Amino acid sequence: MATHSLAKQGLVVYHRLTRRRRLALAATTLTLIPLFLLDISIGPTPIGLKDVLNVLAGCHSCSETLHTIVWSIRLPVALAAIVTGASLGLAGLLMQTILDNPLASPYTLGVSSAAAFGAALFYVFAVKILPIADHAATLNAFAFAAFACWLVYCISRFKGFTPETLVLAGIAIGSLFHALLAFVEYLASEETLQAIVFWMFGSLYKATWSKLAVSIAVLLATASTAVYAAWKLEALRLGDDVAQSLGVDVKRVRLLAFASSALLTAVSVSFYGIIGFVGLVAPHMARILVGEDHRFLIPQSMVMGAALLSAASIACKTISPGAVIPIGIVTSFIGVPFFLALIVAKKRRYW
Amino acid sequence: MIVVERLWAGYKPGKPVVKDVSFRVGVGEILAIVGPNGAGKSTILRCLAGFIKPLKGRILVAGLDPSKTPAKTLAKIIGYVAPDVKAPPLLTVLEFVMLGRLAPRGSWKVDSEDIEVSYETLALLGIEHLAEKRLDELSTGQRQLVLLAQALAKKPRILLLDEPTASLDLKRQHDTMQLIYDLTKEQGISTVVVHHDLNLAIDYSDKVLVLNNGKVKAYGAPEEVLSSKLVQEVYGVEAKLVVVDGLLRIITLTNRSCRRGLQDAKLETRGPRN
Repeated sequence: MATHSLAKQGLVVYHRLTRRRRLALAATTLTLIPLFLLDISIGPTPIGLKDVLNVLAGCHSCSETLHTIVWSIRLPVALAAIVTGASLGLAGLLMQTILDNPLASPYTLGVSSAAAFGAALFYVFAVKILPIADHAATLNAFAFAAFACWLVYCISRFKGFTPETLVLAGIAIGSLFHALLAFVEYLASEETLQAIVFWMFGSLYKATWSKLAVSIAVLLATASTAVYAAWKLEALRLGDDVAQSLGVDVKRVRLLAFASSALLTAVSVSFYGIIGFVGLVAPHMARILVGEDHRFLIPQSMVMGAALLSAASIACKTISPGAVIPIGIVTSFIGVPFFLALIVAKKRRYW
Repeated sequence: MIVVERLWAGYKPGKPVVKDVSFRVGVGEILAIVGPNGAGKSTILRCLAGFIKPLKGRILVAGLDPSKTPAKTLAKIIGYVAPDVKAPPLLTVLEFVMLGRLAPRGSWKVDSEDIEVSYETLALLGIEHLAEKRLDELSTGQRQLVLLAQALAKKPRILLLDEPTASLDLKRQHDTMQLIYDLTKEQGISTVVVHHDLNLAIDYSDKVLVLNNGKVKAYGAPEEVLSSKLVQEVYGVEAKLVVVDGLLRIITLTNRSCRRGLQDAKLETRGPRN
């Protein structure tokens, strides 16, 4: 009898713990809806929220132009903000977990400079890594991003694939591609240099429906794998020894998370350029809100990333009327005050 | 059941830390390993848990060779408790204990049995009131109990404990060791405990293994193998074995004490000073 009530008490405690997390996740997910609609509504041609809803509902009485603006420009961009933000949030969380480092972000292991180098190769020398006619800059960027990750993996494997070797190999490879990029830029003409710089700024206006389909597929695959392995990822946070004693194949889980993060980052960077800060900050915000339980932390990081990038997408259209500032520039302006507020308000240590 | 035969182990080839060690821990038996720092105590535990491969020799843990068994399988039968753990501060105690049962399973799903057993184990150690606390809010001693709870909640057949009482107060040391002893007997666990406190090793074990420089200096029931000469030889500290109220005690003697030269002052009968 005594043990029976004890078990019941345990369930009560557990449900109290998870209820708070469920609420936080649900509340932040709901904020995505107004952000998404605002993102569609705001732009050089303002569209009322009612019209936005009408067009999205597939109304036929709406004007042709309104239809075109929403379906072929605003909607892909707004969706790209959500999907890319979520991708970067997840990629950042996975990096922080496997590198056991609060400074880790999707770009820590040199993916961004490798991708930029790939794009620059096309702009300057018209080099095409993959024999496909269209989207050469994007495909080059993806190929080099993937190549850099593979290099980092091969190097760190020599010393047991530990967080330290991963970080150091990543920094080395990142610097290498950074230098290569600088060299290519040095050789470039003024116009091509401008093209490279603009490519790197990061812009969601490169969004297309086919790109969206690819990023959504990658996001769904990696996110479901990560949630399924939630407890193993959480065990990694206790250090390799303890994780191993908990039955986690440390190297395999780390490799899986690394590959997922690399894929997410390579896709987003090659499609939309370098969008900084989101992948670093979204996981921290999520952690402050829901704690370490990765079943909640994974979706929460994605939601925070999506919200952050959506807000940035709105901001880059409103800061200077008539012009759209590249989103890569705006993310930090939006994120830093919010992030600092959270850090300062939270008295307790959280990493 | 744990069988170790002529075990050589270490972290670099050619530099063994554990040299030719053999022992056996039966079902419902508890073995205490003692010895100075760097004697190879923890290395033996790490071999048994499957973290490192032995250089030479044979190990069988519940019929399995840990170096050839997947970590997942080992984790389900072995409860390993490290001296301390580097834990992310936002992790709650209940979650941490549940992690022991959930991580080897590989799925994200939580059964109500996981929650119930984890909470009951916390209650068994008298710390269920900490269930919702975060790990960084705990004292070192409380954290040590939580670590033990994680291992016990797995209902292991093998318990490997690396200084499980090092940070506990006097009463908790005895309560915890008594609990480990009782569970070992009741549930037929094979337990290996690494101790620095020789008296705790004597009180709560069937056998002790005295290790020095990686070699076995003594192995057997404590009252049969321990001697003041052995303690002097292994630790370099003069000691005396006495029997008080039917209990074997090791008392260290040192002429370096700043309290030297006391006369027999009937200290025992004196009440607390006010």
